Amino acid sequence: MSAGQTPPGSSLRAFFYDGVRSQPQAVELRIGAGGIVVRGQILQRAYNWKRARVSERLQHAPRMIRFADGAFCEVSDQVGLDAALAAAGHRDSWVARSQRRWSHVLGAVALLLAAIFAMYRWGLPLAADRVARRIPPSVENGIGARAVKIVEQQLAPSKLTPQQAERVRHVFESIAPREDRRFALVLRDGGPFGANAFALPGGTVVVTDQLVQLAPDDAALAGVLAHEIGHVERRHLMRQVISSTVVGAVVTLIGGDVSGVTAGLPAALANLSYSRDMEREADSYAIDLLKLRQIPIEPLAELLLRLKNAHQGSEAFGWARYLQTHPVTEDRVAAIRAAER
Amino acid sequence: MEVIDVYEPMPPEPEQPAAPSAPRASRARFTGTGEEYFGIWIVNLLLTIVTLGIYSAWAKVRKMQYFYRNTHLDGSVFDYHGDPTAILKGRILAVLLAVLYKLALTLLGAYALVALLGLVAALPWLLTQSYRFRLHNSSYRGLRFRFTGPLSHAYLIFGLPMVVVLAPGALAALGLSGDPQHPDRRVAIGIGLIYLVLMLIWPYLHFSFKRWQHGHAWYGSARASFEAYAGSFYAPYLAAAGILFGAGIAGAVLAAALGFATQGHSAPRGFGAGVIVWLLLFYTAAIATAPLLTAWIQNTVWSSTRLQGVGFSSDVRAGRLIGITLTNLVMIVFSLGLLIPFALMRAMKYKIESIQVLDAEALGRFVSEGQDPGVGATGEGAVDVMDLDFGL
Repeated sequence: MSAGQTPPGSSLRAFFYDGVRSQPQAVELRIGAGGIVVRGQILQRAYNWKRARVSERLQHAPRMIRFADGAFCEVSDQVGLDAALAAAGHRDSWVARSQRRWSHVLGAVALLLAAIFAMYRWGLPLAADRVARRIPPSVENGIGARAVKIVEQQLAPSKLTPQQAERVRHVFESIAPREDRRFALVLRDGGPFGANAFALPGGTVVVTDQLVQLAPDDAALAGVLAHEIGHVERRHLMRQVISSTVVGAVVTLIGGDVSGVTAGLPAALANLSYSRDMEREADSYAIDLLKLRQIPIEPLAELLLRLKNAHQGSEAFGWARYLQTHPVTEDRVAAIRAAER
Repeated sequence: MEVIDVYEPMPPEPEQPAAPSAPRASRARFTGTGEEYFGIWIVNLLLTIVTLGIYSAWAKVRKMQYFYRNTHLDGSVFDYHGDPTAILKGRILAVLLAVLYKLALTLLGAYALVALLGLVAALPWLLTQSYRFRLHNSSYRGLRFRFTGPLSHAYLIFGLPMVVVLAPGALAALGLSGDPQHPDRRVAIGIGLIYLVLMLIWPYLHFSFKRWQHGHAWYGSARASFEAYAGSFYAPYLAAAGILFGAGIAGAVLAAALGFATQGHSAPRGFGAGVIVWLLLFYTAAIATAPLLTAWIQNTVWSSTRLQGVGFSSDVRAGRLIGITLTNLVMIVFSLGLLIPFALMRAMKYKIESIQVLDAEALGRFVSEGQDPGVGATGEGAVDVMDLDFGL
């Protein structure tokens, strides 16, 4: 027997295992259209092609031809087996063939990126919206209550005078819709976060002292509060929580071991891109609400511009500009002013 | 064809007496490559996403077959026989359990407690089933492996770690600690104590786990034995703890030195840099201790395992494995995950090729154990989704 490659049509060298003993037996295989004949020093068996299974071709692993009786052959002569199998009409599945063709693999990379992008851009927001609508108010209020607790721990109590605080509460009550939800207002000292306002699930709106001081008048304050109420009404926070949970879970599934390092990144990206759409939605909600209450809209635009300058001025949070979640302020101001006309 | 020299044709029937010379050792070989596995990995990912996860069971079979069939031992390879539909069933169960757990944490109250208890009761069973499924579906030279580890041991081994992981959630569910992020002082001290106990007995639990895995594994009709001592698991963990502690101290000293060196107008900045250096040092040490532990424990485990009188050895060098792990991490992060298959193949190749079987001729003397009752795949799928990896 020579160690060289087998010319087509002749026999192939292989190892035969009977499925009962772990002793390999060196054999010759003869593969024809009708069947497979295994011949060794002390054995000779003929198998029917129809009940034999051939393992997929791999570059450096022997292929296995498994027979119905539990016996099988390991064949390391890839070229010889390729020729014999081709002659017998055997082909690997399309998946197996795609896996080893570089053009298909590159195509799979492109399709994968496209599928991930599509799901993330359209599928996820849609699903998150649907799910957010189904979440019972009790659950949302529970999450909201926890969020309020955290905010109260992180931010110092408000330093506004009682008169100022009363004024903000009055504006809030005059703008908040009274129908289906209990909206609540929380005033805190912004500390390092400066002038800011944000909504929590369940209907709590947090406003910092610095924002109150920055607002040119009550109408501007009403505009900001209406914007935050818009986030609550559209369930933006719940949607964000849901989508970042989903993204985190998917990344964990795909990434496996390295998920710890990379899981945070896509989740953060999801938050960024959601916020852009959501800010626009909240703006248009605020415009509608202000019009309904017959409050001028222009002060909101003015306050947005002041906010932008205030945040650019603070050196400690200069980097925050690069992580700007709000759509470019000028665009928002332009959209608000256009709506006014 | 290198195997030709190794194998004489089948010896004549009455077996010759064993040769007087020393037994021939044979090192395992792993021939999987990053390039080839990349194709399998990416097609698996694409089909899994397109089928919303259904294909993941078939993907798993392809992946396992690639790993097993590229693992050569004395001229023969391993094979994986898992049934994708069985794996799919297991995964569906695992997803349901994960959703249940998430819901339990959100809902709080009595339901949460019931769900957590259910999880505690189910997990050891799932892990046992999973390992049974994996071994039952592994073969070498036509003989299947099997696992007969008793379920009661699984409850003993996994019980305490599970209680520790789930305790904060359960306490929150009972309303004892209120906010899980800021628990009550006494509760916090209690949880801290449980963690301390867990840390102290962790090496023993790891040892019991390996003894359970290897001591109840079968190859054909031969049962493996596991002869390590618990003490041999404490040494690596103590060393790892020492390294972490040392890195913490060295980092703190360095941070303080940097803070003092820049005293004056930029003192806070110098101190900030010091803290960053400290964190970097500590994290690097933390990342490096994991492969260190893997290396030492793999070596201990394999040199303590015997199969019908056949011994094994493993000579993973910790420094080499740390190097592979750190460069892999860099590769993966900078390629945004695209080089995962290459990283995985490098690490597997090194770990597998460190293992030797001490008497290669004996590998031909095993026989099968007849028919094995079927093993469900529920556990197998569950372990994958929950990202618990046993390794073999």
